[in-house]
Parts: sequence; structure tokens; C-alpha cells
Amino acid sequence: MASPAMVTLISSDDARFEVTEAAATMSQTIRHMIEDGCTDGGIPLPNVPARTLAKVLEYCNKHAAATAAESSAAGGAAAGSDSGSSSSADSAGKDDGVDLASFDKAFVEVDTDTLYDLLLAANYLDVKTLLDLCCQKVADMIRGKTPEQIRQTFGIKNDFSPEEEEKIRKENQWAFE
Amino acid sequence: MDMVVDEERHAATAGVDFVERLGPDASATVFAALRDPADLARAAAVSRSWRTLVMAVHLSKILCLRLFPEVSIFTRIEQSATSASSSSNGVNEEDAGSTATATAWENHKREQRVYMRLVHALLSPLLSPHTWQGCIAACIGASSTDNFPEEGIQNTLVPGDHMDDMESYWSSGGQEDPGVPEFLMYKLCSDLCFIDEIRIQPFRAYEQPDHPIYSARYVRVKFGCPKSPLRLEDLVSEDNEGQLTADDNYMWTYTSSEFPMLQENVLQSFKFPRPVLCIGGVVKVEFLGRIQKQVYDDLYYIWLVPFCAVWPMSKCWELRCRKNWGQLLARMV
Repeated sequence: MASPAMVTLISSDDARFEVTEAAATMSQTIRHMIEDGCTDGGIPLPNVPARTLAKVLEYCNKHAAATAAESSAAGGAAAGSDSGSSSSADSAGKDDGVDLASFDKAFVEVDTDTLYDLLLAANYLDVKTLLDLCCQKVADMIRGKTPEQIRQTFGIKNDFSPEEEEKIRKENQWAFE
Repeated sequence: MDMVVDEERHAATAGVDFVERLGPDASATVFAALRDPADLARAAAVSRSWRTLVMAVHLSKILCLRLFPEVSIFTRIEQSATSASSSSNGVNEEDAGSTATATAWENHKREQRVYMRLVHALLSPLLSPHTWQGCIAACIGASSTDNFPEEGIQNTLVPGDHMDDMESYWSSGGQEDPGVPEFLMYKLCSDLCFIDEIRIQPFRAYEQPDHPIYSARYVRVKFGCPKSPLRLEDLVSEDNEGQLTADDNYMWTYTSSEFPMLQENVLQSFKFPRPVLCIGGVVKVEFLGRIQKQVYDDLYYIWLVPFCAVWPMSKCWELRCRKNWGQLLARMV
């Protein structure tokens, strides 16, 4: 059995990460770089520091492995399985959905600073599911709050004059009731 | 003491403004993850930079279209003078042809505000189902009528299947071919409203041998907008069967699936998968396939008892269709 193709990623602070191509290409940005043949000597990611890249790769590894397990479980069942453990592979495949959801939930249980770093990295690297996950987490911090509560959550100074604030409130009165 | 604790906790959790930290691009993605228009409206009241961003990226329009794809048919959307005056900075004047960027930005902000209001107006009736109400304002016409006005479409509006001790119903013309479809067309009370189901009852002819029920095989519903405003004389009256029943007078914005109809004289409910935003205030109910022949003439008919009084709907906005169909204008009232 051939070992999976590996690629080297280089963080902004020159740390090197060896990952499977399957995990790395969850990032559309990296996928395009590989397609363009820019992988010699590693792929530089000047916008992502090692600390954040490690975390993003943890996400990509987990999801890439889950995807692989899913397709091999399906393929194994069809081919009668070569390992003789198709039933356990099957159940692992089913658990993955639940498992992945709880992994995702725990994955973004981080301080806001880390969350912002992850969000920016997911945006730059174009890992759509991770970007959605992070955005949803930040959006959850806004949801159901008054403007004043939102300001407190994000340490924002109210730079409207009282008159302006009144005007804005009136404009969308329904949202403040 | 409480104050101190609060301040300490505040200091510990005081976050960083993500709009500054993430930049406009990624921040817009965060705002786009807000599903409730009220959250978006409150976010736009947090600070100048938040407001600018929420306004700049068409978020309320995107949210509106995501929730109500039907709305994409509007080419323009504005506040009416009355509702604009209630909010001190609502603006209503037409584009004066000014090329100034400031004006464009003002228009853009206005559009965002109106979309936000529209999304709220569209959502709120869905959140409070008790506002459902009957919804037919007038009859536009029927594909055919056996005896007008005795068996005309206007009979479908009067509750109960007897009027002055006479049986009250609509009857199509007779056909040899059971495949010939029929339809009834109505004008709704509002140009913009939600309809979540349609209820129809076939008529049982007690006067005839074996009490036959003249139902149809399938019911299909279309909602749409007249290409030019309906005039009073276009509508059905005692001496007018209705002039504007041809399809090319309308733009249909929604067509339902075909609901099977039972050959039973009970009120039958045809419920849409989700409430349909009816844009334009016209509904066409099609009856596909005939089942019952009349013994006297050996022809197929469809007969229906009055049913239109009970369609639930909720109304929100008024709609103006300009001369040209390309300009459909939603006006908040």
C-alpha cells in the first residue's frame, strides 16, 4: 500500500509542518498552489504563524481523516473489506458524524484572540467549513444582545452622539423591542 | 461591591473589536452568519465602523433574499412618504440624477434600511401565526362557467353552500374530455402577503341521482402579479364574467406542486411546504383532471362549494407595478 502523499507547509515564523496532501488540500489556497506546482521546498504561508497553523492543521487532519474513513467504510462494504473488520469500520463511519460535531464544538472553545487568529487563517487559507465554524462562533457572541451588551463583549466604545443613537434606534424600533 | 465584581469581570472578558482585528472582509463574513434581522439591526447600532460595514456589504439585502428568494423579483424597494416621516431621517425623494458619491451612498444606506424593514415585515407575521386572516378581495374570473351568474365564481366567496335556501356553488362548463383543465382566479386583499395553505371543497349535488361529487383529480396553485394594475371593470360582477383571465396578463412568481384532491365533499386543505410569499396579489387555482360525469348530458364537470373565505394569509406591504414589468416596486406602508 502506497504511503499517502505528504506536503510541507512553512509558517510565517519558519516552522515546518509535514501533513498529508488530503489534509492540506482542505485549504483551497494550498490546493491551488499544489496544482500550480509551487510545492518545491515547502509551501510558504507568510500570513499564518506556527501556533495558528498547528491548530488549523489539527482541524484539517481530523476532517480529512473522517472523510477518508467515510469513503473507505463505504468502499470496504462494497468490496467485502480486505481487513475483515468491515462491521467495525462501518460503525466508526457512523460515529464520525457525531464525533466530528463534538470535535468542532470543542475546537472553537478557545479565547477570542485565538478564535480571531483561526478565523483569519481560515479566511486566508480558504478552508470554508472552518471559516463558517469560526464566524458562527463569533456571530453567537452577538446574537440576542443589545448594542450596549455587544459593546461590552467586544470592548467597543460607543462613538455615536446621543441624538444619532436615538435616530438609529427609531429607524429600526422593532429590533429594540 | 457588585460594581467592583462587575468591573473585574468586565476587565477579564472585555474582548477585542473583531471589526478592527479581522478587517472588513472577514468581519462581513461574521455578520453574514447572523440569521435574525434583529441581530443585524442591533449590530448596525453598535458603533460607526460596525454600522458602515453592515450597510456597505448589502447584508440586509442578502439576508432578505436568503430568507425570501421570491423577493429577488423586486427591482426597487423604497419607503413610502408616511412611514419615512415617522423616522426622522427616512428619505423618500427619487434619485435626482445626482452623480455625487454622497448621494449614491445615501441611496445605498436607504436601500439597506428598507431591506431590513422588509425582512422584519416579512418575518413578523410568520412568527405570530394568530394574525392569519381570510384574504380574497375580488374575483378575476373562471376558465368557464356553466350558467353565469347563477353558478359563477363569485359563489365561491360566500361562506356556506346554501344561499337563500338555494344551493350555492361554482360549476365549470361541461366537457367530453376529462383532461380539460379549469381554473379560478382571484385578487387578494394585499399585493404582498403570505399564504400557507388553500382550502377547497368539492360540491355534492344532492338534487341529482346518486348525489355525485364533482371534484377534480389535482389542484395546483399559482401566485403572481398583473402586468398592468387591475381596474374595477376587469373584475367579476353580476353582469361581467371577468375580462382578464388569460395568462399573458400576469407574471407568475410561484407555482405549487400538484396536490391530489379527494372525491369527497369535505373542506380539503392544500398546504404549501412553507408559507409562500405571494407577490402581486393574484392567485390562480387550477383544477387538473375531471372525475365526475353528469348523467343528463354525459359531460364531465367540476363543481365547488364556497371555500375562499377561509384561506389564511397575512399581509404586509403594498406593491406597485410600474408600466413596465421590469420595474416592480415594493413600497412599505
